[in-house]
Amino acid sequence: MITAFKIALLLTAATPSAGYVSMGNQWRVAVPEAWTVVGSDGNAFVLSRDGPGIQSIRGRCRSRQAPFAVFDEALSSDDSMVDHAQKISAGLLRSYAASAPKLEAVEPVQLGVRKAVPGLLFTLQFSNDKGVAQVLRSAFFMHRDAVCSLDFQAPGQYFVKRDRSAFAAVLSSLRRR
Amino acid sequence: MWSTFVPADFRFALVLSLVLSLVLFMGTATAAKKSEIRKGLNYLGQQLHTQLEDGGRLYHDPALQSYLTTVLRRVADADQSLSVYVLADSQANAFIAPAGRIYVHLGLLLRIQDEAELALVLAHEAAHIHEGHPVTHFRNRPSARRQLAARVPVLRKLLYAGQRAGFGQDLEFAADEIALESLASSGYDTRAALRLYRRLAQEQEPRSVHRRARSGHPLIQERLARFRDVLGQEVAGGTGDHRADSYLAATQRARVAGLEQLLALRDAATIMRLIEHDPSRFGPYAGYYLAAAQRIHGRTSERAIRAALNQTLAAAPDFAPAHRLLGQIQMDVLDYAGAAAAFDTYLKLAPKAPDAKLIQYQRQKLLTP
Repeated sequence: MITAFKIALLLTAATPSAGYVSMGNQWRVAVPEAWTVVGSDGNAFVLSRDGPGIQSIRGRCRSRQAPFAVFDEALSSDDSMVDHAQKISAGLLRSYAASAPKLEAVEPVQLGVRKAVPGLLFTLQFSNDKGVAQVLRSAFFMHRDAVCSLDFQAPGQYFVKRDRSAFAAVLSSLRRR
Repeated sequence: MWSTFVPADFRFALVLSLVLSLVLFMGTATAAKKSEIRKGLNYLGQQLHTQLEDGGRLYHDPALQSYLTTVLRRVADADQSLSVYVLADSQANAFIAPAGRIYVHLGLLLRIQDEAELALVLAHEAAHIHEGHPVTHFRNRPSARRQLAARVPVLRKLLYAGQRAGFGQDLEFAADEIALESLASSGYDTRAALRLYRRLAQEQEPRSVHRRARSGHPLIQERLARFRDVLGQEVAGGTGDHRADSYLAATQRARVAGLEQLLALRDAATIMRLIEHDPSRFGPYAGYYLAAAQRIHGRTSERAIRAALNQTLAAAPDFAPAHRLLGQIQMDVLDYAGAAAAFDTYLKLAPKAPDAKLIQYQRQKLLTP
């Protein structure tokens, strides 16, 4: 019975969906066409098209007091946007420290369409543990006591170009549940 | 790849597996086979170097590389087979790789204060190579051989374990002794060992000490104690060369790049420790990095932060990051017009900076009622 349930769950999870997926229990984004929900628990999700080992879009929310496991600086509401950007980029650089990441760009971004949410978009380049060049585009936004991120990671050649529009669609589909 | 100074993370499991296999095999091979193995090691060393290069991990400065090579030749009996490179990483580390390659992290160059200290580090790494410590180390460790036989994924664990362990206590102490002899015979001040290790010991975190103690790698404190046994307690004085000026001139750009990495990671405590000890070592940029670190640290008055920053603004007015920091400080005191003016200067000096769009946006917001 349990096995049958697990199989059903896996099949459900592996089914391509044109629906929505939640993060932080308050937000949802649309799943792009041809993408699959690899995992989702209401607070965080993982989407992929060819497999999460190849490319993924991940969403999750964490406390502003401890946005990064590797970094103990909080994101204060008194901080300027520039301070937030510097703290988040430090958190990202520390999170990927073993892969020698390079911060290519940090810029403001509007998430969602009708009720746009201001955020910051970071672009990093690094090599994964197989030596393959990767691009990480990570959009952060703050809401009350939480900081939420939508991360797109893919190999720097073909997949980034192909899936860039899918990530842009996810960012613009953000809305409150 | 074997870390021999302090721990670092690395991920070249596949290359390492081949290297270690060859190294282990070398212990029992005939002369002809040893020659073949050396060729293989050279090839793998080159492959590893290419990976570092392609991954953007190397810091390029031809003048610095030439200087490091000159110091290395002086302490390593002019051995032309050795080469030295700088890794763009803020950790205080150095390590060797196949084919006589020595890699020194930017973070170690930041902490070294003169050429004699650099010579000690290079002599230590050269000693590992000349004495064949990689072969000895892995031949004497049955557990490492068993793990090698199982290959990946066990190799990944071995890789991390190997980096933490270095070559083990005995071989590290042996390399230290040889390095001291090399320092003395090449005319450098041997007390450089006391100065450098005392500084590193003061900096070593308790967590790192605990990890090192478990790994079998000698603690910096233990190595310092052994140097004291040989050289005595007195760190000053000494009869050989120090050559602090040559070192500081040759490494100026690299050390500033190291500070920039630390600042990107918001490692304020390390920046403050490095600069407050002797700001003059960092030239006109010391004030900026000190001010930025103090602002992150949050325990320095705005007046003191501004005073430090003003030193850089006066000495290097075209240094764009100083104007960005000035803008942030002006925002802290709600002087939005002043902040906008500082951001304008930043954008004029660094229009293609990674954060240019963000600063432009922030500037516009400041001026929007």
